[in-house]
Amino acid sequence: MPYPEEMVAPMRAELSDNGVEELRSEEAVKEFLERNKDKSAMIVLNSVCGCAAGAARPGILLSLEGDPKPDAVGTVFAGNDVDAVNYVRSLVPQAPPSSPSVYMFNKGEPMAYVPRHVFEGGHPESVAEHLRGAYAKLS
Amino acid sequence: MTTDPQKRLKEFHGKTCVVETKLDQTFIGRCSRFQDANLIMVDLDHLHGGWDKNVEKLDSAFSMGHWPVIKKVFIPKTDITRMELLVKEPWKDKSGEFGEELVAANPAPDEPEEKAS
Repeated sequence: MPYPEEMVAPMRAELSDNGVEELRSEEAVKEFLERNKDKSAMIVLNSVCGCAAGAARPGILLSLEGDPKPDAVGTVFAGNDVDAVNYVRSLVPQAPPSSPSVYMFNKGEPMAYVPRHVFEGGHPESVAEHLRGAYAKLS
Repeated sequence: MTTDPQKRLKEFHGKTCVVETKLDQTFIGRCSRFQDANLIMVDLDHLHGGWDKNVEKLDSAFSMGHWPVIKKVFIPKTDITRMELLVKEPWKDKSGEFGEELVAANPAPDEPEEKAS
């Protein structure tokens, strides 16, 4: 059962108000990846979890302030954008389901994955540093 | 450095930990709380053998996460030989050690029940 939309709306907006593209359906994810198949792209699997609020979302936004960074950034929401989330997870089947998490693609191919435990108890600065390390490998 | 994992509950609570027991088992999962001298972990994976025998699987759990194949376990605190946050990769530097005698000699006070995030 999805979370009430009015409850997750501020959690979605924290990313979407800062330039992250919302991908609420499987078709939207496919279109996003197709549109950016020649670039680097990142999909944030957002969630209601406390570590998403305290570390993941602010850390992700902080990481995107500088360069290098992915050419395009999208987001799906665990528990609500069910088809979109399942599709993103199907692209990296070796990764156990985990939220919040981050998927990175380079020229349409999965390149890096950041699971939940990286965000747990972390600070936005440490999350941003971890992500920047992965961004440096994007072309 | 504390010698009792329960004394680090505030640090471990709600986070993904890796636990080794003297029964030659490794658990990877979310630390919930301690109750009646047991550590309660949820959404966890179980590996046969200690950390040293599971380095490849622990490395994989660090980079990709773990499969939550067990909903909940109670681990006697005195069985814990090592426990640390997964993100710290403790199997690489031998940290997170809690000796049985040290645990018995340094009992932690009862912790109030806390809800997992």
